[in-house]
Amino acid sequence: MLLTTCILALGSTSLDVPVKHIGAPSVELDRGWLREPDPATHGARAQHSVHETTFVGNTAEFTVEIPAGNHLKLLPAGEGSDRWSITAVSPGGKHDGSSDRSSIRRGTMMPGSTVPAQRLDILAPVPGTWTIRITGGVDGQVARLLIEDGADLHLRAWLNDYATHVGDTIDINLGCSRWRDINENGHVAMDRAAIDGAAILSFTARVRSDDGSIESIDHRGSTLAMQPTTAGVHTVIIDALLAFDGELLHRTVSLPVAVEDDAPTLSGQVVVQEYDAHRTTIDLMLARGTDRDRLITGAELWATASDGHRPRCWIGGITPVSDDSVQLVLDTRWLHGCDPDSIELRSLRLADVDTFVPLARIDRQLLPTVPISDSAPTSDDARVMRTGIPMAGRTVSAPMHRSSAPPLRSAQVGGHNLMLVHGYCEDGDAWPLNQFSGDFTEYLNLYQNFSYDEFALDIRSFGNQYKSYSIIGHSQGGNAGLHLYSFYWSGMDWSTGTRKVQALGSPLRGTPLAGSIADLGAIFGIQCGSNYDMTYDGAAQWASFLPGEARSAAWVWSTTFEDGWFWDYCNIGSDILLSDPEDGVIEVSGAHLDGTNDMGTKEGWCHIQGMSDPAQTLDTQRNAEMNAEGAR
Amino acid sequence: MRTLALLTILAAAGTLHAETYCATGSPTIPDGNGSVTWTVEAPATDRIITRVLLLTRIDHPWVGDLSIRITAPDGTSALLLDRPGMPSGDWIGPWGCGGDDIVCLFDDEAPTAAESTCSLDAVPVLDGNLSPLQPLDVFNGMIPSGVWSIEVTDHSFIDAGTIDQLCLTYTTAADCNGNGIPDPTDIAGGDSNDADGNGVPDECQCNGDTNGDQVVNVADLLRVLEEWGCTQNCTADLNGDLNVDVTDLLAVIGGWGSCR
Repeated sequence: MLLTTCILALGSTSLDVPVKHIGAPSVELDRGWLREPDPATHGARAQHSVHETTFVGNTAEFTVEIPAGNHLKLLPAGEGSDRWSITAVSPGGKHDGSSDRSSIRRGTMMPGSTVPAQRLDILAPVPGTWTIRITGGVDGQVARLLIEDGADLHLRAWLNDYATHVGDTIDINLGCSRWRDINENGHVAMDRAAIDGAAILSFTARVRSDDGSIESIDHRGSTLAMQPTTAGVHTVIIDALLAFDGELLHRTVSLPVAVEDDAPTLSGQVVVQEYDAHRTTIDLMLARGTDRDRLITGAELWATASDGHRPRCWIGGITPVSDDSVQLVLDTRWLHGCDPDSIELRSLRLADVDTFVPLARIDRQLLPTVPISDSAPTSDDARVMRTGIPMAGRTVSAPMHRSSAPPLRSAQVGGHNLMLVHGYCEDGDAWPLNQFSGDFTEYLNLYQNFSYDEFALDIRSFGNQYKSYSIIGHSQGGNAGLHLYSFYWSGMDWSTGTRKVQALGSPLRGTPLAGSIADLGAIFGIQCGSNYDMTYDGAAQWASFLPGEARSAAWVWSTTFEDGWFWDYCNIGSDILLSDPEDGVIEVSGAHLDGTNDMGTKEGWCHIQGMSDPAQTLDTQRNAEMNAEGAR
Repeated sequence: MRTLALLTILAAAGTLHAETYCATGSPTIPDGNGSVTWTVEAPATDRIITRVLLLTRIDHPWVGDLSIRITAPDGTSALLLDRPGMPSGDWIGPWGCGGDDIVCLFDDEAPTAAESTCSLDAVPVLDGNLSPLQPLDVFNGMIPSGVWSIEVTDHSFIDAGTIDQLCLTYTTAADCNGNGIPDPTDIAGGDSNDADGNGVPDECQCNGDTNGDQVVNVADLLRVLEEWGCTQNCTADLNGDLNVDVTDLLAVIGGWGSCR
């Protein structure tokens, strides 16, 4: 057994991973699950502003417009900011640094950061122009100030189109919304998002690239246009002065935009071939190839039957790319009873597997005659129709897992385990191992910033030492587990039990922190970098490829802080960036996803340790349930 | 039921004889690089094997752990199964097929290979007639008599199983000339003549022997004379022309003596 393990670890540097060929019934299209999201309902939104100035002598001063609201939160950031002295001077000249209506909160600057910070909170601030004076810095030092004013007005930024490619003009829209415009899924309901009495008076925009370079962006009215020359995540940062109900206020919104190059082009030629009794391959010929070894794909299948011409199923998944074609696999039992000459692909998408940015699209493509299975599908066929079965040659390559951590003694190599998986940029303190029993193992790969696909394949590579496993994923680990189960064959498919993924505090719909980190991470001491997949946009595009089969195998929990009179946050920094209820990293609305098993939200628990309430992973009650119910 | 159906098919072959013998042994398969061997003794015969099949019933939660080898009395062996799904190739993971249980008949003529059969849903996962990894025709032409052994090995810890049934079925045919090829094959291939069409190569026949005692002597001469002129059910009609006559008499004289 030891020998086998060594071979697994050292035998090669990459693995061939078989992909699933997903099929989903048309009812999932009706639910909107597998359709490309509307960028206007996602994007980024902010209820805060970020200001920057330079110390002159030992003093830095900010002049800001504050509207009427129930509170004002002022978080200074910079080297030694926890020792700075903050004084807020109201329009009337009153100093609010030490009154009974103000208080200093202390904590760390951001989740996962060890940088100490302080925040000045002021109740019911007087509206008008305030002066924020900070002392204690050194001459020439940069000082930043993060402000939440409590007014119910978001500045929003969103793309016109998710197909964001190098060299193309990318249009970005600005607008406002209020809390009531955000539905229970965390999406903006555009039909309610017209804000009477709100106006963007002025704004500046700049874009920060992956390499840290910053450029300003031109704009016309409330529309920005950028034309990136390099691929990567470009974060558009907009500082705006708004008018709302006769008062002035500031907002800063950060919109990460994943820009791709090397996009393939579809030729429009399609080759359909019968593969076996139930499966047909559909080769989409490329006019221009790509260096990518795989793409994520999706398409609706429309066909004519006695009930008319309508969608019959959705097919997709991750598919290897050859030099000249991309292949989809169709289980023709979905089309039983349809005219074989009426089959067409609709809303076909080929997207990047790490960012889910669409690289090529076709609205409608009539297929050559499709050989349709004579046999009507039975309930026994359902799973195979939804996931396919492994097919020769249908694999993608993945690097071997590298971890500095030794395997757990509780884990049985070659056995059947629960796998505890941490989240983004983990420092090694995620799961309390003493709260789990039986056969379980812990995946560790610390301080990583993976895309969902990279994370999933790394989990799979680690999991190869076990015959079967399910995943208990914290934060991004839950997303990665769901990604793995959705798109790749793995030991998860061999596990016995229904709960394949148990996700706690996972940003299934994204978190605004992902965008803020792109802009502010280095300032706030978050070292692992931006992560596009965890933005609202990235998560929405990702989820648009998740079929119901995988969603139904996921059990999902969220938590939030205990809403007391004093402690109404988990972290003093992220509290400003997130909308309540939240756990310090994930908004509750961002932690749940249609089609998954919603296990609810529990108060009194925060995302990680070092916050105002205990870390959500330490909840013995939930851990006992997950331990008992997880598939193995 | 499957065994009975099989015997019916094989028995229809006429000159072929199908026989089934079930092996015995400890039901427990030692987990993790452990083996158990079941044995069965085939009775003495001078006939040779034309086809071998093995009915296998094993309860095991991870068939990718298992290998099965069958060994004939003379030491010739065939590896029928070797951790199906491994190496994984395009299949789900590096531990082989994780399906439950085997209820199958290893049969060279089966269109589906046991080694590449797997399913997430089917139980038993190896079901029906499946072709073995190494063909069972390696035993063809040998005399089956003696002790056969079937070794089942579990190569990985954690998942353990038991053997319910291992039954060896073989068909045999006569090989009167001892060339290792069944007589019907010799005749059909033209390697042997069968002038009287009785299914026995001429080189094995004792010409002139009317009573089957492998000796041509006075008794045979007297029988020809006794049945002289006989046209129906005549044991002395040595050339099968439905008439006992001088031709048969000459056959006795020509074959005079012992055939042994």
